[in-house]
Amino acid sequence: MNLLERRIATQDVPWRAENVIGLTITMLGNPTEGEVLGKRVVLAGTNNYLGLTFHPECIAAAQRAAAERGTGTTGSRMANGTYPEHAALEREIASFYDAKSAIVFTTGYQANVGMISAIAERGSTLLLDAESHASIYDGATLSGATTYRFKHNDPKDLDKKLSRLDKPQESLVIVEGIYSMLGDTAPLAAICEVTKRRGAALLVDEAHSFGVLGRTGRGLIEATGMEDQVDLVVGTFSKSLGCVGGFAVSKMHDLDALRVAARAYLFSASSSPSVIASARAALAVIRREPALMARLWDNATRVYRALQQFGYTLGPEVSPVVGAVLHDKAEALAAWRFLLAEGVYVNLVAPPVSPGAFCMLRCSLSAAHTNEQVEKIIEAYRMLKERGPLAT
Amino acid sequence: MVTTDVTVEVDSDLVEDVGLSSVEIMELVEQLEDEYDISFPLNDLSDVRTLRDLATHLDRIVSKR
Repeated sequence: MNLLERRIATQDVPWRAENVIGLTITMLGNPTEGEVLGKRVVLAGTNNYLGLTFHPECIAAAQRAAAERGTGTTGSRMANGTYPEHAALEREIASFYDAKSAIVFTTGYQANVGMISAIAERGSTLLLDAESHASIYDGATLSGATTYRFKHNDPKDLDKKLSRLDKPQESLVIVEGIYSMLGDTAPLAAICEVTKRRGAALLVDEAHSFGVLGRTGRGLIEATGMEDQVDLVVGTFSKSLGCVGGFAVSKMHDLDALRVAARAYLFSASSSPSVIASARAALAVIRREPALMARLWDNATRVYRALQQFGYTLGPEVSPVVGAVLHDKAEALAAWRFLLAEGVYVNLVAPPVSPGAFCMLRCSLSAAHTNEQVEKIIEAYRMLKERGPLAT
Repeated sequence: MVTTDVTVEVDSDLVEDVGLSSVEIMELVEQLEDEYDISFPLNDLSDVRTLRDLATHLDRIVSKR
């Protein structure tokens, strides 16, 4: 058995026999309905927070760009892959954040890996919230920096770890706006106070909070009034903007020099013209239609409160991400199947993707969910709770 | 708290013999950080397979304080 054969044979895949990880979803012409395992369902596990994947302006912009600029750029941003529209999107993101500069990446994963490994190096220190996304951990590994975890959402533990460093000013602290599994937010004011007092830099990953939190959608930094305290924000186009891509933006610093240090930027083909066009159109929609955010929060609040009332173990605050903790793997699979049979698709999550040694049903709400769809989601969860343990 | 029913030897492999998952290993590291009032670098974890490896790293970190 060679290395490849051994790896394939020994890789642990959750629910491998049941074939439920990475299954196919057929979209049905709108952001909230699809077909999963032959069943027509309400999609409540998509990160499509503002429902812009089928917005007519985004589709028209993407179609026009593909016709006029082609289907792909066939090159890196540093070679032949920067079109006027890539530069325009960077200016528009910088303007949206009232920031000095922005860099657009091909994916959100690459934005974190690229920026973290460009900023930190051997001899630097990274302090990551324990529940950070894989892209943050992977960026830390690539950087070669000494990396510590601090307890999730615990500024005291962060302070303790910063106090042990010889040169805290050579360190970067990383937190997230909304944590993707249980939907909780970082205690940003306290994190900023500790970070600044110790002289460290601070990166906030707003992947799930860009377009979702703050008066204008600038994320947790805006919602908490910390915009002038944060060195760098990383975000993604693949959630609120409904396409794919990532960005880094800073009010405090000109990031331009880091383009040549971010290998994920340097050695990836740039985003397709259609993707850039739909991101620009979606950003314009967000600026113009704050009602979308209000609608999202209305739906999120209804589902969170209902599930809380039914007795599910949820994250600590109302959020568009409503994660219900289930301790048993077989029970989680049975519960997920039950919801699917009732016409509701949510994400089935197992360790190490879940933030602990437990499984989860991860529901994410959208501004595009209708009242009827929200009722259907709530009713399916109610019936699931009423049925009690399902696993055999 | 990470607990196990397995008899643990100093050269027990934390994953293969003790059966800890990656999440449980991180929980164990967190407990050790609290117990010894130290910061344990994630970079060191790739060298840790057994309890002896873990103890060696801990000893080095504690002695540097």
